[in-house]
Amino acid sequence: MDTEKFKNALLVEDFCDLRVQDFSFTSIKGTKRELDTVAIIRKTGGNVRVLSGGGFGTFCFTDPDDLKFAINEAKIASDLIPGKKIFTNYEVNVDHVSVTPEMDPRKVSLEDKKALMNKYIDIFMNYDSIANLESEYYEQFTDTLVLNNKGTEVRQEELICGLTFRVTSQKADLTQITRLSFGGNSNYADLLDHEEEVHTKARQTIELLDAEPVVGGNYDVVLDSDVSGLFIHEAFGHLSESDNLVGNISLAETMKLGETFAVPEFNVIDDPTLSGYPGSYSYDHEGTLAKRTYLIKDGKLSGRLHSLESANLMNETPTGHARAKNFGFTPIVRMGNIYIDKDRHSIEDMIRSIDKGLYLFGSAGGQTSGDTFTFAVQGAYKIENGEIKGMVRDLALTGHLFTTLKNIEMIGNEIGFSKAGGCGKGGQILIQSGKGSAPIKIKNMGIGGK
Amino acid sequence: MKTLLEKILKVCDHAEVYSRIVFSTSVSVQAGEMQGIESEKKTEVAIRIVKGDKMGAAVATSLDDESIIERALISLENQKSEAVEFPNESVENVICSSDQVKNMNTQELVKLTFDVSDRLKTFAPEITSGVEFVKTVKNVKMINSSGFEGEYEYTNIAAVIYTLNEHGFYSTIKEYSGSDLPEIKDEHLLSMIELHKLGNQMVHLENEKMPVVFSGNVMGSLMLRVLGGVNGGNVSKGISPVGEKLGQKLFSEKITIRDDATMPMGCNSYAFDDEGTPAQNTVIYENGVLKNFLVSSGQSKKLGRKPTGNAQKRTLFSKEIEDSPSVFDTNIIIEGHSIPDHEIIGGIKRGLFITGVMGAHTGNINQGDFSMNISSGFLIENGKMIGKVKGAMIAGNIYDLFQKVEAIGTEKEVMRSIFYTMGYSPMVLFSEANIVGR
Repeated sequence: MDTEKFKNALLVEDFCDLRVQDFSFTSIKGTKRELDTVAIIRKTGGNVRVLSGGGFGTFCFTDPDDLKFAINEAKIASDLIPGKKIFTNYEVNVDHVSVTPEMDPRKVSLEDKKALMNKYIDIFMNYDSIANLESEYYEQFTDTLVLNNKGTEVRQEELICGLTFRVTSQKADLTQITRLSFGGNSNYADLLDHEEEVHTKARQTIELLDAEPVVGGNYDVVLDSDVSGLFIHEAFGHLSESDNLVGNISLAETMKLGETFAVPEFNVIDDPTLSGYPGSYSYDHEGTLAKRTYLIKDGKLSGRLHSLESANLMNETPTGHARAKNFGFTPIVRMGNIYIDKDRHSIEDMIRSIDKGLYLFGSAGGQTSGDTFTFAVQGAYKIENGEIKGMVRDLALTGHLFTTLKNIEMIGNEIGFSKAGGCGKGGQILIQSGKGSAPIKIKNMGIGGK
Repeated sequence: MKTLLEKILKVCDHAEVYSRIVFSTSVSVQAGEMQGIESEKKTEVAIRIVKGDKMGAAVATSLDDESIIERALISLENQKSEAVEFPNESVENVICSSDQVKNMNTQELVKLTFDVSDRLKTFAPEITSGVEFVKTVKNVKMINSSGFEGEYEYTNIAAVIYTLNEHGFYSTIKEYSGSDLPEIKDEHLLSMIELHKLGNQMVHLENEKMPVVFSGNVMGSLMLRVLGGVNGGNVSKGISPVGEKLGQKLFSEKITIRDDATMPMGCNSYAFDDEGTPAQNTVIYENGVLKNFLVSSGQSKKLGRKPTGNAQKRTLFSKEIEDSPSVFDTNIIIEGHSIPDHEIIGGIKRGLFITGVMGAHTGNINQGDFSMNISSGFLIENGKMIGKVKGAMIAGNIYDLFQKVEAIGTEKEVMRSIFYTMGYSPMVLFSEANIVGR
């Protein structure tokens, strides 16, 4: 990358930044026993932003010769936006961050990657009741340079690899789907030696065929770490992304810092600086240093995630959470690794405290729209008189955020993080989005069945 | 492109080069203030190569990036993708481009966005609203070693108009998408305002079965599941629940579903698909009878059916270029036993009008299962909408639900399939669905 050339192209006046990126993505995809697609994608491009008027003008380009044109267009666009916004609150960072994984996936041959996948695939497919299996190995490497006319010059490598399986069991017309993921970080070694987990997941997927369909209604529930992580990501995390608050006075009022959202034992943190999870990184895509941020502290709303723009408009500190899927997209506020911090209860305590309820396991995707959320789970165990009983299937949860947060009664004593990232917002699927949690108990949760 | 094709053919038997330049600009206004203007000019290149009986593929962002050849060879050697014959059929012109849209500059797009925002404000100054316009112009070119040379231009204007409730959360949404400028009628805006105001009257439902009307826009969440069944990829892998049911009546006779890439000015119209197969109008379900699958050239041999021109280099969650084409919808058109919209709503004693769902992307989509939160739904009693439903879900399977199609409305809306639009549907009345209430 010709840093000097890029630096010289930046506008001197106003605010102007440039992100150029080499993007590579390797994927091996399989259906049932066949590995049918191997793709090695390479893309290069840049994204320019100018703030000379009342908002950002941005321009993405793939042809390096378009750089000047892109800057010019971004300036024209920003000038078309009525008003004048000026950033006063920004960091100037100069750094070069390289990745140094314990076992670098880029140095592992395609043959070895396929052999590893085939080993796990064979375990799954040797079970007669596994009717379909979608497998994927993914490996994304980006080399990104972020420059701005305030002096920031951050070059950062990011690397993530992982294995994901979507497992379908079938008995007559009934099918059940579960998911299993490994990795979600830069270390290939984390993908090895999971045979036992694969067997367990295969058996669980098959056992779900004999589970009863859940009867829709309200239940006291215990969420395992995976489901709790999805809950906090969907239900609350997205509302902490401050770009939603910009220009939305009513929502900003709803999300007033200091408001009591949950019991005092409840703490939610977003921390990209944790190492080894899908949402771990040093600098965001505006060149701001990533910061561990308390979102809820002692039950009270205590912070939020920011980009340069949202932090400046709300007069708060940038937290380093503006990220883009790749150079083709503008950075928007995204979670890094969001999690519910641990408290003191064991899973057993939580289960014992419930007369009639459900213990939900395995996330299966969710969505939020403002203060309501929904997400699917892979399955659940019934809880009767404080004891785990048989499995139930076909569960989807829905609820109102603020009511549900207040209904959280117990928080577990151990945090687990999901190995699979992935979150969609504004047309950008970001695989580097981590979530985790201690298990939690929520009373009176709405569960939909079929 | 020809130079690249010649270079590729030195290392393989047959090849295809696809390239497109995408220009787009998006402008958004919320609460009367412009949020930002984003633009792009992107070159995307994809090749497929055949050597012996194997096939490989790769993508790049420049026609000069020759590493694409080496990467396609690695893909060829490592994947089990059977070689396909690249087509060379004559392509007919499809009207999918508007000079007015193409020539529109950013300033005009900004004005258009403010105009709609101002109109809404005039009707209801007390309501906070937002408007977003996205203009796209695409130039697509394709050549292959069978002699095919094709090119088309595509334009699109997508508009999203929404209102926010008193807490700042989405209340109502209306969408438009097509090659030309949309006609945003006063009655559309007034209807949004009426629904928005109903949001002040919250109603709760019990677990109950009731007639349900899906708005045209929300029909996309169900069509995603219909398409999972007729996707040639799923049929050939043996994971479609309707793979063996061609010719059978699976849905109510009151519904017909087509996929029409030739639709003039449609949101996803094109002259040929990303394999060079000419655009077609494929009847999928005719009066409830399964007539066709959507098939790519790679699947056509295995399934013994002709390619339908639905192969696209994208995924469900991304329209960035992908190396291997998959089967996707173009313009899905829903039609059938037609009754005016106001008569559909007016004829319901107690039922639900659903204009927003969440969770469309979860569950066993290919099997037709759904379990979605009703993020925007209105209770109808004695033909009138009386309030907004809170905290309810709708769950079931489309192969049950679509047997219960009672009527198809008249006013077409663009359908949404998670991130993207997928064609057009009027509102659809189902005689009964399972609602999970409190």
